[in-house]
Amino acid sequence: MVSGRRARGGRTERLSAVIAGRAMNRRDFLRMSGAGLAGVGLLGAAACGGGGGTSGQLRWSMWSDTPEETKVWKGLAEDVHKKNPDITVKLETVTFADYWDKLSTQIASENEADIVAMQSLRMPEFAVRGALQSLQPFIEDDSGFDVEDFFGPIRDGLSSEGELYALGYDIGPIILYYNKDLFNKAGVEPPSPDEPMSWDDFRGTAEQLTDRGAKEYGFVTQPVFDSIVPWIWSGGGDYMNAAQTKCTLDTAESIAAIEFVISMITDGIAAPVTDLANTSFAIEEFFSGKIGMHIDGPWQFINIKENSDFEWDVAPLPAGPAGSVTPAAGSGFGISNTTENADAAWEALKILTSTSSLEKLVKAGRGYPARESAVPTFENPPPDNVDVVQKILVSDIGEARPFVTTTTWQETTVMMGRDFSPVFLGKQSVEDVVDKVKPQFDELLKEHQEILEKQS
Amino acid sequence: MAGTARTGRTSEKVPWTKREHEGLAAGLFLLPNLIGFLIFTAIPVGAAFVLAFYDYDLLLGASWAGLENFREMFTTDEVFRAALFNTVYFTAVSVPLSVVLGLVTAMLVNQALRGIVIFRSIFLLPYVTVTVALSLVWKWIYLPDIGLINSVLGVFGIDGPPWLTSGTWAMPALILMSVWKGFGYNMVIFLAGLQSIPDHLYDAAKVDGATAWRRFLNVTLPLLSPTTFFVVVISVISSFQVFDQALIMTNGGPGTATTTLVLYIYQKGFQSFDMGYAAAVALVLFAAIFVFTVIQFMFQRRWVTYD
Repeated sequence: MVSGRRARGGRTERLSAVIAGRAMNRRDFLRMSGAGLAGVGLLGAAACGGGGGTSGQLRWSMWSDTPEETKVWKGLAEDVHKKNPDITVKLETVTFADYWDKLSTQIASENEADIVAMQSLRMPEFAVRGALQSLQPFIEDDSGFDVEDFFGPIRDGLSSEGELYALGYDIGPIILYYNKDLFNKAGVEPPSPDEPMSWDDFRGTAEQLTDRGAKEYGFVTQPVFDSIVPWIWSGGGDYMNAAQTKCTLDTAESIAAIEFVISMITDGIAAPVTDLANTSFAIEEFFSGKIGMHIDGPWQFINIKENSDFEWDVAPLPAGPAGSVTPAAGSGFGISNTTENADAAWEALKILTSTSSLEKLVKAGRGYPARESAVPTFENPPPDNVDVVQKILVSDIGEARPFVTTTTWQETTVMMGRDFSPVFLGKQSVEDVVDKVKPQFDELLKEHQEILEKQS
Repeated sequence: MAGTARTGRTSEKVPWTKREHEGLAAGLFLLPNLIGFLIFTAIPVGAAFVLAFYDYDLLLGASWAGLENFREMFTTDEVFRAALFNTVYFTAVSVPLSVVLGLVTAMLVNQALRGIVIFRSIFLLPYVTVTVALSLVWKWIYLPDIGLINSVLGVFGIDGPPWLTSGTWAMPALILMSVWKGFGYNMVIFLAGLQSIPDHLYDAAKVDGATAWRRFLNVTLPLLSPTTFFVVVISVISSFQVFDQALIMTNGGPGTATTTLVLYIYQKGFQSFDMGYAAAVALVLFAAIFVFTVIQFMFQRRWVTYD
């Protein structure tokens, strides 16, 4: 109970710090606008209750898109109760697409679950908005807990301003998937699992695999900004500077890298983009068996196994002028800022992300484990070259960088998606679009800095 | 005096009059709807009016912004301008099409033929089907190489455009799909209107030697005008709110070619946490619908007959 009150106080302090200098805080505002009285009353009632100490009933909010997934998460929730009978975890799921709207609404009405799932790409945004509490005090007080077992990139990805906010369950560096059957058919040597191929080789290979008459292409890319980030990094560029104050897409390296990947579409050696609204466009093209190579995360293993009838394997990303640099992203679970039961939540969190839990997730095909100790379970082929993933994560091959985002990232993503779409369709030059995007991105980075300043 | 009579009545606890009973019953029957309306419509709408004048990040709190949201919208925000244009474009093309198509099909199925109910149902089917599901099917129909439309065009030697990824064709493609989905509803309303026109008026016109076309112009159209008015008003309002198709089929793209106002409101409010700005755009949309509807009511006197 004491810890619960502490957490609540912390949240209020943080919130008032965040909005310092503003006319009123969110609660006053809601009351004033009239919606507040009814809204806060209704939703607030549900937020009350709950015990204290290291026991009690906890709510755990998570995304799940299929009944199979939900079953896996339910199993983990039951494991918590088995290992610690004082704690009961109640799972609440909603689809991945709806999860973020729901979470925002729950935070705004202070009705968050005690344990909250979080994706590394959205971490800065939600951390600054007070969704989660720092895990640093728990880790320091808990001598039996070894945080080092989690891969570096996922720890970085789930941190904000140097503090860890969530424990990861999966991690995915972007890797190269290839269709072995198409390589055999074209008589082309498959990519090496140890040595990243050069960009020139990659383009040449794609060209050899392409058979436009049969609508077979060497490569396919998802028409979103995220999918060109690996190319920008491997090309020695970046999308923003280290201080996160300026967009750097207009550097020669960034532009050359984007042009390299876009030229594959415009030259007809990558599949033409036919759907801007389908978030699975590229992977579905790859499922069709008419695509030689595709870049994606290891969370696609299970989906490719289920949806393809060809032989496939994985390799590291092709190396550009700056080497084979891949963005790593993953997800994990954190503790809500408004929980009254933070200590119990920490106990549950440790069980949910324990080696044995992650092994279960791996066996269910739910991505690549965030803990090094859970990796050995990853064995059922294909892919034969699964160890490529671990070699990338521990820097034996190329470099895995956390995909750094900002507190205004969602708006950035919407803007990029909108303005980059003509580039993927070959309707606008890369330089023209970068000219259009840069001032908007700079403005969003300015807002990002303002939000960070208000927080500190 | 009325006053003393009233006092006397209440002190003696006279039973309620019939009128009072009916009032209470009506109130109770209305209550469930009224509560829902208040909680899910009236209060949020009221809040949106206030929010539009704030810089309100859903999770960071709000600060007074005055007219800043509106200033940005009408000066620097190119996406808003595109969304406004797209919404007007969509409405201007889809409403006349779906109204005319609704009327034509209503007249076709307004006949006492065997199995006519089946035809009526077929035309209404798209309307009662979930837009999201239809959007997914139409995405396939519009596929550039293997889609139904371009395959048929290919038979005639026409090289069809990549419908949904073309800046020129994406909006017409959305309109076509929306008209196909929506005209069945108009048909049903028109059908009801047609069936309320008394037969003796047609008989009288025939006796006067009016041709079928004349009967349509001078009997059907005037007597159908209240129905037409209703259909047009409802169609304009729902066209201004087009959203699902744009989200599922094109996600507003390519570029801003199919970004509609409601899609933009969704992006601003739920994807960018910018609730104040989203509320401001919603307010502009509300004003536009309101003005259009008022104008239509003003002009109805010129062409709508109620006898």
